[in-house]
Amino acid sequence: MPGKRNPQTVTADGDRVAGIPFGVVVKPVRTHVDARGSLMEMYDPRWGVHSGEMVYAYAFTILPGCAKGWGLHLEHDDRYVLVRGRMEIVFYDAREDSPTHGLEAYVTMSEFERCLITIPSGIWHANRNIGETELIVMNFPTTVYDHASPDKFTLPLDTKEIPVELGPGWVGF
Amino acid sequence: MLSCSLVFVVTVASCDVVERELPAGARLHSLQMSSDHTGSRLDLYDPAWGLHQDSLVYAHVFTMLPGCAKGWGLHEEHDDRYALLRGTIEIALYDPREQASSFGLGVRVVIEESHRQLLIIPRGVWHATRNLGHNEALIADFPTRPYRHQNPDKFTLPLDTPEIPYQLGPEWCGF
Repeated sequence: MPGKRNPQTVTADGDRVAGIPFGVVVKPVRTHVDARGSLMEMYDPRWGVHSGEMVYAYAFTILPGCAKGWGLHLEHDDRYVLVRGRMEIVFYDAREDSPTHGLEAYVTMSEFERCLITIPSGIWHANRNIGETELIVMNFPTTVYDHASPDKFTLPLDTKEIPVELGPGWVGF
Repeated sequence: MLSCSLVFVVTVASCDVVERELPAGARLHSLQMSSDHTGSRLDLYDPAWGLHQDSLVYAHVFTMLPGCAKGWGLHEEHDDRYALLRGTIEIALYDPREQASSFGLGVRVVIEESHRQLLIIPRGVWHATRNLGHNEALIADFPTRPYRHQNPDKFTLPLDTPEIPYQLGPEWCGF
């Protein structure tokens, strides 16, 4: 038995075939390396990737084997750049008016192919470390963090309210 | 053991320097990290801190290999805002601005992972950075202007230049 033939996953140019939630943008970013170290541009308004201004910056880390999520924002978009490690993001598009309403999608960020990923408000997302070291991601959300009343809604990774069955590798809180 | 105690002495000395004298317009701000069993979060820039009048507009991250230094560098049109993510670095500053109250001042600041800080380097101030640690250091920079690729707002001099009267030791080597 030859088993089951795999479906196409990427084009000949290396672009993914699977859909991605409407409004999510994956913009490749270059890393310049020399004998002293490296430099990577993380965000430039001239890229035209996002119309929202840059107002706030933070970094988060995830330990190997850990996941964080599900999380959702109503008032701001996230803009992630991975600096160190390897991370898988799972999306679930909960926006009723979205052309990709109900879509589930997985995207990987790594040092092999660094990118900026924008995550519009209204999309559930969860992140997990699929590498061997503590990962570092920079985020440039489109609004400043409201410490007294965060624009952050969460559900457990094994919630029944999101129709995505995450594998046993997704463990966090 | 010797190298550990040396690093400690330098760090303490830099904290003293920080309180009293930095080039006019330079600021050091302690960053708060929160951790839990899944990882951590570090706020890097919040306009509510009131450290700088200019908003965020652009970001890059640079790394430095152990034993390496980068500099001297100077900008005429933008300020740098450095935030250390990983490692231990020393930053040397020399103020050549004749009209500045700190004209002629040369200082060194050590920033390490256990006490992460944001450093604002005003335009017109020479700066050089050295990796003091054993791992590749990671520094995020939020300059006040987007990078101008075809005509960078960046002026450089070699680390051992006689044009800057603040001498760096032989441990400051680049290429």
